[in-house]
Amino acid sequence: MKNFWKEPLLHFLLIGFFIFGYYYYISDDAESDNAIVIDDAEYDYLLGLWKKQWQRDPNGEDIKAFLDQYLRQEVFYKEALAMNLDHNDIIVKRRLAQKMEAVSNDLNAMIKPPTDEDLHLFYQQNQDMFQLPPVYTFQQVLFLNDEKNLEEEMERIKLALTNDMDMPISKKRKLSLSNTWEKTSALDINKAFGRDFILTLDSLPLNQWVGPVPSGFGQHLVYISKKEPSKTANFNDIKLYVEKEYEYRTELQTQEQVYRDLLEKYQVKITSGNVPEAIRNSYSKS
Amino acid sequence: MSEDLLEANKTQYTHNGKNYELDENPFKEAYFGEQHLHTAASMDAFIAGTRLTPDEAYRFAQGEEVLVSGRPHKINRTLDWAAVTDHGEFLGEAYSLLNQEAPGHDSEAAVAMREAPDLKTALTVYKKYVLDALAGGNAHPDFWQGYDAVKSQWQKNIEATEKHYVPGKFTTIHAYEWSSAPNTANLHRNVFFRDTNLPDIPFSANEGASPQELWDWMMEQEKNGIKVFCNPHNSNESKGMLFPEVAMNDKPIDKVYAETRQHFERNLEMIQTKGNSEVVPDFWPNDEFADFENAVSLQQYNGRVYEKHNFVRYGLTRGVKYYEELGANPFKYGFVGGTDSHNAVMSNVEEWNYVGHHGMADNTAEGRSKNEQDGEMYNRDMNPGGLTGVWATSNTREAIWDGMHNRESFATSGPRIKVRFFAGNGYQPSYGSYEDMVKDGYGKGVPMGQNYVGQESPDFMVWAIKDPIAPNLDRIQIIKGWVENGEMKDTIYNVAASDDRLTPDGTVSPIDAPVNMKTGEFNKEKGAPELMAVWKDPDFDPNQNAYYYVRVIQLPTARYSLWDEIRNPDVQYPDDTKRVIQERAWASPIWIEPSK
Repeated sequence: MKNFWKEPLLHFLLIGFFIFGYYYYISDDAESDNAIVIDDAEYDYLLGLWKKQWQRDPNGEDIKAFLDQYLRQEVFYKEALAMNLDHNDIIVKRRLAQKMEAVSNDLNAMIKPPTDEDLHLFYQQNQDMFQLPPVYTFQQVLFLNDEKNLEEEMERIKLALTNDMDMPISKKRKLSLSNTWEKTSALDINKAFGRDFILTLDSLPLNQWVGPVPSGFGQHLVYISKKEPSKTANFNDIKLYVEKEYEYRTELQTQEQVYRDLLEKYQVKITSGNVPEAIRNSYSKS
Repeated sequence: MSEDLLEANKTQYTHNGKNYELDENPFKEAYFGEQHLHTAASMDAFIAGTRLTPDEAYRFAQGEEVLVSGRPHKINRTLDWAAVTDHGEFLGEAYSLLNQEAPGHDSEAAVAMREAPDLKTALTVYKKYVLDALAGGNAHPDFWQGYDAVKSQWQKNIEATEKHYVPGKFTTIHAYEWSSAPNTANLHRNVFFRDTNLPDIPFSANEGASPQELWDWMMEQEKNGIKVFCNPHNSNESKGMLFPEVAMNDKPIDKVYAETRQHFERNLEMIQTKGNSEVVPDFWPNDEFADFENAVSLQQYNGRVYEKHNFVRYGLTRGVKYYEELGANPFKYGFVGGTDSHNAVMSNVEEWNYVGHHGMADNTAEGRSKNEQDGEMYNRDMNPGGLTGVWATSNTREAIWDGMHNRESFATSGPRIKVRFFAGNGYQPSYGSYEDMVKDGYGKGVPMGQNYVGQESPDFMVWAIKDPIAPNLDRIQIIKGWVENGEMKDTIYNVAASDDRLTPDGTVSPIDAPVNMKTGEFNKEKGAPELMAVWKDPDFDPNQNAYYYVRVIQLPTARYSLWDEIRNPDVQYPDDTKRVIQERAWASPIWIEPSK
């Protein structure tokens, strides 16, 4: 039963019923097609729309303006209907379809906000959406490609560093790049060193000086002390983000679901032989 | 490893009652970002087919995939900070267009704008409902619902900007564009606010089309405790009006004008999609790098014929001449770069990742090679736009805003080149470490954006490093402008060059580092990853009004036109289109203002 009440189509039909009922009720008061009656119900409805929009009470001028706007629309609308202009008009069709879709979009606002339980479930079912990039703690020492005796120098410094000796002053923040990078995400390393460097980093052993590792700047010696692989973010840390994504995905799903359910009510017959067969068959019901 | 004083410290920061621990570095880091961008909340962007909102623009800047003209697209590298600058003039219309419940949403004009299926229809709609209304003296098309609607959309932009602020990681800045164009002279300015103390409604060109009226409004805001400045852009389209001899109220420029302008206007946008405004070869024939993204086809539209008055180097020199005449410099500007994209894609500046900036007009290689940007220029003359680097102590709204406000900012034509620039006394010709260099830079002098004060000829220290995914650097130049016996002059000095090419007489032989025209690959052997120099002006005169700014030139790379041709064998750009460019960075000036 609980699931039954969650069915988007049911909500959709209920809303449709209310809307229809409302128009049925107000049009009952109309004396004839040539009269445009603005009774309490109609006026309150227009007033409500206006206030919802502007968040204040209208003054006399505003009231006159929205009534004029309404009447103008009604007059033209009624004339257009009388002339059958709505019939099979592509723009009218598109607008009506959009209106219908809009009603289904509004469903989300009417379905009560998700509980913590809903969010937890959504988080668990969509772990791939909440992955954090790998995080590295490492040191690097940069050598430029045109340095003298590059290979020998790199080997010499690598050995010195391995034996816990100090880094030469000329290598401190070479090209302004920090030697020490604490808990830095792969995204930020990509920004600072380029893609080649981060790709190589991924395959390097821990707790030893290794190199040369190439980047857009030159060749690096690298010492990785910690690598935290890509993992799912902690729910509590990203709850607001989960909620945002939940709402977004639910809206998309609802739209699609309403369309699918409504489509079920119709038999689609594609009689044109010009539509490719595979596509034609995809619409036939099994 | 010994302690490094330049490493950041952890510091506490509070925003909206929430605490953050973030990095703070007194010697500053370069943060890259976007300071000029339009979304669907700019009516012209909406009509051209853009439906991405400020919210989605900030998502794009942080690496999320969005649909640009119906195709999925991602930024190559995320940004450190960003500002959405929708046109203040049509925010109200945008509110009606974008929000189903808003009055005016179903008006004939709004429906026509929303449903324009192709570029041609969109342009017809734009003319019918916007241009004709403007020509008829109406600031707005008929579905404009008044200032409440403007307020509502401004509020939506504010909400998106607040929502995406992650202090220490991603900074967002509250901003909008004031888009005045009297007689089609582009006088546009982007307006930036320091914090959440914001006006209810932005001041648009509809409320006042002259810069003085904008400053009057900004003055009112300051009285309410609001901190605000603006950056003009597209001086190349200004018909000589951005750097004028006479103010828009027909009065000559006086000291009050100069002081007010300098107080509120802090940076010029050096480059953006509609061209590089630094210089053009016609007026600077001796500048061998002047021929770069000059957007020359602009001149075929709206009478925006180029004159020397339109360009940044002229403006800066005229500024120091005004200082000599009035005792105040109205054009004391630092530099920023931006895109002015109308697709809501923040800083999508890499040539190989360019998908156009103007909706349906330039979203395909074919459209870029053939179409014109209606009423403005050829698409093939546009470029992906530039970036702004800001030297700031931390990645927070206040620090980035302050960095731009102090003009400690630099522009690039896209690559993430970093450049430092100091003037002082007692700098060493070279330093054993970066740390020592930066400490001396601040300790014995001033950074870019400031005045050098002193009788002694200063040491100018300049340093640049390459973008890690781009080619090496070609050279660094210092450009000097000054006033001599009332005459405005400027000249260029080469101060550092790769591959030992700088000769004692200051000339540099060109470098042969060709781009592979079949694959688009750049040369990886030549050039330097880092260049540094300490330079003295051979003609320094402490009593001369002058400025010095820096230009860093990168080795050649493929322009988007070449990438389009490589990927689409059917597409051929006309012969007049460049396929190879030399991207660059410009560091804000340092001024000499002799006391009288």
